[in-house]
Amino acid sequence: MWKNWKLTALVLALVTALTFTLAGCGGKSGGDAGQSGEQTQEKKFRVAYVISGNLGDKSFFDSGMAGMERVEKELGAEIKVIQSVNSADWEPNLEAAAQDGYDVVVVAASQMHDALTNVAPKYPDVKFVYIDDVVEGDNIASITFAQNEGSFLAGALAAMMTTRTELPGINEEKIIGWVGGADIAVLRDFLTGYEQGAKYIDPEVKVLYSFAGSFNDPAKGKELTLAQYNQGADIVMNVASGTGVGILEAAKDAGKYAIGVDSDQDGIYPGHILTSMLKRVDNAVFNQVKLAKEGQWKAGHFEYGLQNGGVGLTDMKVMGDKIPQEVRQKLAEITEKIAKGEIKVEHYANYKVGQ
Amino acid sequence: MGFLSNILNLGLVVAGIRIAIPILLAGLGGLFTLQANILNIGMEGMMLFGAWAGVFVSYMTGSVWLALLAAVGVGLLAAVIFGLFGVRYRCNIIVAGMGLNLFAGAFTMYLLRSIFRTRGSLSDPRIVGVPTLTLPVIDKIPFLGPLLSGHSLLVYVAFVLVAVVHYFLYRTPTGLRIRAVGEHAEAARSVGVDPARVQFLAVLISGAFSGLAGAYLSLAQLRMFVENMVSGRGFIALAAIYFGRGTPVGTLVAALIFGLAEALSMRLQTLGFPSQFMLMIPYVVTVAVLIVVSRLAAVPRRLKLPSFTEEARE
Repeated sequence: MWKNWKLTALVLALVTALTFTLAGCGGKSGGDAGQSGEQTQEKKFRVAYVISGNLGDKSFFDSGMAGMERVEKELGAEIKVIQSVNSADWEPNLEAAAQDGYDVVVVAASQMHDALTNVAPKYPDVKFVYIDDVVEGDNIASITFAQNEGSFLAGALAAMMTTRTELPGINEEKIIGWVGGADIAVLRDFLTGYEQGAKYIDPEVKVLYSFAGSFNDPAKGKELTLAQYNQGADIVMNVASGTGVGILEAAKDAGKYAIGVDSDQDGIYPGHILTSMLKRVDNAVFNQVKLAKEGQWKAGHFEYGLQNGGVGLTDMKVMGDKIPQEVRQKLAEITEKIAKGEIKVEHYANYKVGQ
Repeated sequence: MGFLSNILNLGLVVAGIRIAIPILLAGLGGLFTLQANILNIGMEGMMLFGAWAGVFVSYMTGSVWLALLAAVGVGLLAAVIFGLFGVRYRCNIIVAGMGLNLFAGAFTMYLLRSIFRTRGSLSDPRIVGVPTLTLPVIDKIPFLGPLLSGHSLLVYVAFVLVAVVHYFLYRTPTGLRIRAVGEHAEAARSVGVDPARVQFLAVLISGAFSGLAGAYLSLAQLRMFVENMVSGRGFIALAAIYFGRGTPVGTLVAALIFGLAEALSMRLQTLGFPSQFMLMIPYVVTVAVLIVVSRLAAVPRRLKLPSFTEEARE
């Protein structure tokens, strides 16, 4: 009951506010002709960003917010953020945004699945953009990211660097590593791309991989990484969230290299993290809202990969000239080939998009 | 055979030791609670508080010694909470322990967010780690050098503590009292020992050791704090104590077996064995050895099943 009261109050307050605004405009233009009255009819494009967490994670949600800020600046839209870590708030928050008549409601992340399934059918005029998972509906565009394509680049980079013995800590053996959190399909999809990328450069490169079985055990992540270094690897990719911070530290302690994930982790241990594979939530959000503003928005499932800037590597500024120009050039070449479809990056066999 | 030598090498043993230490440290304190007949499942939370306090004080002051002191102090504080509920006010000891664990997980997360405005993890160059020790002559010897030298200071401390705890438990009056209370609280009371006080003392010792074990994780094995980074090691320590039947040497053996098994499983994974099975190895080994141990020796009465503190309540 209390929730409904709050909701009702909120809606009433907004309606009142809206009435006053319109009345104010109308009053001013009343003496003139109907010209400016028509302008107020053409209301501002409004976008809401409803998230199942808080801003400040320096990763997923913040990346989405960066996209929203571009929406505000470049598309001149009015934006609003509704955040809550409390799962009981998610559906009411989403409903409030939809009821409030936003043109586009951006919904993140996958935990909002049930809330969106319940709310979206009630507001057919609102366009929902759902990030990182799939919900079907005539007014929902579901966005997922092609982590396999980003990992392909990471694997290619690792395979090119593992023979550059002029860098300290790089050995002669063609062995690279990969450590994941739990053994789940999404992470296997990362691994599939990483291995394929490494083999693309040199079929002889061996990829060691292991799973920690947990996303918040940095000590285990560090030990797994040290074990791979011990077995001849010199570059290890991290796909393990909290466990992964231990992977990066292992690179620093052992004087070897790691590859970060999700957000730009290059600066955490400068000189030891070659690059990070990024999920460009910002690009996806901006792109979807832009389509909606231009009237070209479509419902359905869309995968953001290399060809539309959904995934990618960092600019590797932190490593500087330790990553030679020819390697960077080769990466750019591969990126183009994947974007054009000349290289087909495989998905993990059991990975169903939107799972 | 190339791949075998890749796995069964000195690195495996050294990794095994690194993995065993937090379990050993927590176990050495926890065995006092077992000896005093208390089921201590709160070690997980005490360790997490210790890990947090270590990182926090190290970050703020830049002194690793103050940080270790703070970790032990905060471990003690957590033990006081556990002792008050579990021993003094006689609430269900499982509830008290689980309560402490949940509280530790949530409260350190809260502190991380409110003090450092960050989520998930805190790693910063300002966090000073525990120094490593290079033993002067030994580190030149081919095989023994890398095995014995170059570990974190806390590794040596942990091995020394095995002897200290052994002495304290079997050669001092207080140690005798703790064992007596666990063996037969009534008998202890009849000679003027207050079982509740002795049990509280055992809980406090466990808290101090757990705090140090947590600091080992966050300042020696790593130099960072991550939400819930203890990840079940408090419970593994509990298993190690039971495995070692409450003795310091037995706990050491248990911790080392677990550490080596885990280090081995990590290396086997890279050979392409399914990760789910490899991740099971340390636990399966622990359970298997537990079964063998319990078959080999008649288990003393007090170790059969924890009867909480009922006897002490009389």
